[in-house]
Amino acid sequence: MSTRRIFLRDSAIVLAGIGAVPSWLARAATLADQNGGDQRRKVLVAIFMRGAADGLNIVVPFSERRYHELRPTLRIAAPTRKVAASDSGRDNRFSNEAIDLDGTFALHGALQPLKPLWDKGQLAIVEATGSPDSSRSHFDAQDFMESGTTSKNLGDGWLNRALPPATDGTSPLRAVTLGNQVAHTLRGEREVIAIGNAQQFNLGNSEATSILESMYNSSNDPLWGRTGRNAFEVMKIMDSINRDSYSPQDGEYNQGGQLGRSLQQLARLIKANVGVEAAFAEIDGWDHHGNEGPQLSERLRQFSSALSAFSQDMGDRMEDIVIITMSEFGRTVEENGDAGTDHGHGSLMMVLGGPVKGGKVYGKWPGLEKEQLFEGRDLAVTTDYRDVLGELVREHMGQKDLDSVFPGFKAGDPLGLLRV
Amino acid sequence: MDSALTPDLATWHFLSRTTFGPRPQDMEKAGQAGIIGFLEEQLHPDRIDDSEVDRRIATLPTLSMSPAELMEDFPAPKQGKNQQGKPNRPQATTPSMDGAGKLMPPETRQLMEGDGPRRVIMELGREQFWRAAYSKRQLQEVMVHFWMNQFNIYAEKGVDKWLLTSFEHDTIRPNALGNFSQLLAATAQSPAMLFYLDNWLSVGPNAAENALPARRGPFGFGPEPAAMKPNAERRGLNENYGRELMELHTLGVDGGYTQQDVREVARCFTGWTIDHPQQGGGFIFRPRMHDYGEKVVLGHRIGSQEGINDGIAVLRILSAHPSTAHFISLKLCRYFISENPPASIVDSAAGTFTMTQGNIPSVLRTILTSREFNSPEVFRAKVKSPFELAASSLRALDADSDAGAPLMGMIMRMGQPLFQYQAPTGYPDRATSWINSGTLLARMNFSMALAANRIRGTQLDLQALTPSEDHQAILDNLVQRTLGGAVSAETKAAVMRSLDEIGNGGAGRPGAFPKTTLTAALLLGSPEFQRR
Repeated sequence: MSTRRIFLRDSAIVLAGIGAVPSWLARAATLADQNGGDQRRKVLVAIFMRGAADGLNIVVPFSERRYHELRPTLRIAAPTRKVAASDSGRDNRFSNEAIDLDGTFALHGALQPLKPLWDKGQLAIVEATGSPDSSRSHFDAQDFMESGTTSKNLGDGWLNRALPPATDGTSPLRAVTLGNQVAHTLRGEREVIAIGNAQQFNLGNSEATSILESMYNSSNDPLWGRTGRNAFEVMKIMDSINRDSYSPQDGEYNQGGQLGRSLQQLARLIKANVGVEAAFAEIDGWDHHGNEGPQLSERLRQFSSALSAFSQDMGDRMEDIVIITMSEFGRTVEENGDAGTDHGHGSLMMVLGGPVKGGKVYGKWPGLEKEQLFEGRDLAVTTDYRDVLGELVREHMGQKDLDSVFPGFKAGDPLGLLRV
Repeated sequence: MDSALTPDLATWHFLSRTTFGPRPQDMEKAGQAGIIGFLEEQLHPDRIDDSEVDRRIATLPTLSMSPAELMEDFPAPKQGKNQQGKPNRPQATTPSMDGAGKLMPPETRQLMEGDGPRRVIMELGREQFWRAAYSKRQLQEVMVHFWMNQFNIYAEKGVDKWLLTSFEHDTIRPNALGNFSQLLAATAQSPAMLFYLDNWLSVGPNAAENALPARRGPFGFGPEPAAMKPNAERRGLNENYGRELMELHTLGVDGGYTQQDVREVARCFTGWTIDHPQQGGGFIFRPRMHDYGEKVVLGHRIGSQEGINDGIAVLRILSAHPSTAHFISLKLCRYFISENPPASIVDSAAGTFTMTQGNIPSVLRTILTSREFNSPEVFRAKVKSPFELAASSLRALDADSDAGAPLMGMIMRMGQPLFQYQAPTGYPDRATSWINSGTLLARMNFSMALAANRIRGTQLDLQALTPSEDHQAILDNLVQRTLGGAVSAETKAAVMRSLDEIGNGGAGRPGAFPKTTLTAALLLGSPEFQRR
C-alpha cells in the first residue's frame, strides 16, 4: 500500500466521508510520500498555568533548610523513601508524600502520575525560570509572557510567530487553541482555530449547511476561498473525530478536568493526522493566597492526570511531541498569615515528550538564603523563560529565526533539553 | 473606467458605513434627505430625539452609578481566602443552556451569573449593543465604538472593571463627535486610562515622594494586593502611558519619536494620578510625585512651576503634530473606506484635521463625501466585526433583543468579547484578524440561531416581514432587507434552489426550517452579509 493511501486511510478525512480530498490534506499526503513515508508532524504544545503557580511546592527543594523555616505550615516534608526507579510501579498515587527525584528536589505527591514519565526520561524540570521583568501583576505578566517579551504587550503571541508561513498544503488545523477563544500565545498572522465546545462545529441544520457550503465554495470573494472551504472541512472532520473517539484513557482525562478535556480533544486531532503543528491549552486557579495546601493538591491532581492520560493516549507518537508548561510568575518563598502565598518571581517550567532528555532538573538553583532571593523575598530567576521556549522553537519546530519570535532577546547558553 | 454606484447602492453603501446596518426606514430617510442631509443630521446627535433607547437603558441600574458606588455595591469576590478547600474559581456544576438549546461554555455562564463586577461590564455591553441596534444617533454610536477601540481598555485589569462605565459615558461619548484634542485630554485624565496604562503609579526619580520612607499601601482590592506591594517599594518612572500615548493614541509607531521622547513624556506626566483608586476617586495631580526638572519632548522644552502643565503641554504638542493628523486620519479611513485606503484620501483628511485643529465632524465630512469613499471598488470592502454583524443582523430583520448573555456569548464566540481585548492596541481593524475557520462557523451558527429564534432573549417575526408565500417574493424581500438588493448570482441561486426543494416536500423532514427562516438564515450567513 502506498504511503499516500496509508496516510489517507489513517486520516480523519476518510471517516468524514468528504467527497473530494481537501488540497491541504492531499498536499500533506504527497509530502509524506516524498519524506519516505514519514507522515507525522512535530507538535509543540504550550500549557499555561494561569494565576501564578507555586513552583516551590510543585517541585520541592526539600534539602533547603530555609524552605522548611519559611513555610512552617505549607512546607512539604522531605520524602522518606529515597529515589528508586521501581517506585513508579507502586500503588501510591495521590498520597501526599513527596516523590524524590534526585536527592535535592521532589515532586509534590499529587504529581505521582508524572513519575513514570520522569523514570522513562520523558520529563525534565527547569528550575528558577521566569521573566527578568519584576511585574507581579497577573495580567501584565501573562501578557508579556504570551507575547514573548519582558515588558511589552504585543498584540500577537510567540507561538504564532514561531509558525512558518502557510502554503496550499497547510492545514487549517495547524494551530489549535483548546478553548472558546484564540489565546494570546497563539494569536497573530498565521491561521489559528479555537476549539472549545465541539458542538460549535456543527451547524445543526443539514440543509442549510450544505447550501452555505456551496455558497462559500462558489464565492468569488478571495477572503472566503480558502477559509470557506476549510471551515466546512473542519466541521466534518471534527464531527467524524468526535463520533469515533473512544480511548482507554478517557477516565483519566476526566480526572484531569478542564485541562484533561482539552488534551483529550488535542489527542484526537493529532491521531487523526490533520496537520496539527502547535497547540495551546490552559489550566487556571493557581492563585492561592490562602488555604493553599488542599487547593494546590487538587489542581496538581488534575494537572498530572491530564498530562499522564495524554502521554499514554499518544503512545509512540510522543516521539513527535514536546509539551512545555509555564506560569506567569512564582509565589513568595515565605508563607503568609492565611496559609497561602503571595505573588512572587521565579518559578519553574516542565518539559515533557519523547524528544526530551528528561529525568533531570535543569537550570541553576539560586538558593533561598535572604541575600540569594530576588528583592529579598522571592526565588530569583536564573533562566529566562525565553531560553527554554527558544530552544524548543529552534530544535523542535525548526524555526531558526528566533529574533522574530522573541524580539530583542539574546539567548543564553543552550540548556540541551532535547535529544538531537 | 469606473462605473459609479447606482444611487440606491450609493445610499446603501453610505448607510452600511455610517450606521450599524441599514434598515428599510433608513434607506427611505436617506433617500428623501439625500446623503448630505442625512450626514448633517447625524453629525448633530443632540438634535435627534433618542428617548426610546434612553428609556430602555434607564432600566439597567449600574449605568447611572459612579465608580465609587459600583465598587461599593459590586465588589470582587474574595479569592482564595473564603472557600475552605475549594478551588478559588468556582467550577460550574449545573449545566445551563443557551438560546440555541446547547450547553453553554463556562465563560458564558459567568457572563450571566453573579452580582459581582461582571454585572457592571455586562450592563455596559448591553448599553453599547442596544444603542448600536436601536439608537437613532447611529453615527455617534459608530464613533463611540471606534474611539472605544482606539483608546482600548481591558476590563479585567484591576479596578478598570468599575471605571469603564464612566470612561464610556464621561470620557468618550461626549467627545466622540467633538474635537480630537479634547477627546485626547479627557482620556489622559480618565482614571480608567491612568490605571490601565499605569501612569497613576509613575513617580519622578527626584520627586519629593521618593524621599518618604514608605508609601501608604495603595490597594485592597481583589486578587491583586500582593502585586501592588513591590510597586510601593520601587516607585519610579513608568513609561507605559508615555509610549502608548505616542505609538497608539496620537503619532503612530513611525510618527517620528524616540525612546528619549518616551522617557521625557513619561516625566511630564508624573503626578497625574488617581485620588483613592480603590474607592473610585477621580483624577488628581500630586505635586509630590512630579518630576519638576526640565524636559525636551519632540524638540520642545517643557518645564513649568505648575507641574500639571507639563502634561497639558505634551497633549497640546501631540494634538497639533502632523503625524497625529495623519495617523488618526489613516485609522478613520481604514474604518470607513478600506483596509488600505488610497493615500489621496488620507492626505485630504489629514489636511482637514490640521486646518480645523482636530474637528472630528469636519474630518468625517471630508472622508464620507470623497470620491474615494464613493468608489465602487470599496463597496463591501470591509468585513464586519462580530459586534457589527450581530447589530446589523438584528437591524435588518427588525429583531428585538435584551442584549443578554446568550447574544453576547455568541458575539464572544465569533471572536469579540466586549471590553476583553487585553492589549492597548484594541482589536485590529483587519479582515484576516476576524476570519478563520472557527469564527466563520460561529458566524453561520449565529445566523441560523437568530433566524430560527433560538437565541434566548432575542426575537424576530419573519412572517410579519414577508407576508407572501411566493418564493421569489420572499427572496426579493429578504435580499433587499439584508443586502440592499446587491446579491451575487451564486448566493441567489443557492437560496432559490433550497426554497424550491422545500416546496417539493422537503419541509416535512424533522428539524427542517420553514421557508422564511431558511432564507433569512442563508442570507445572514452568506459571504456578502459578512461584509459592509
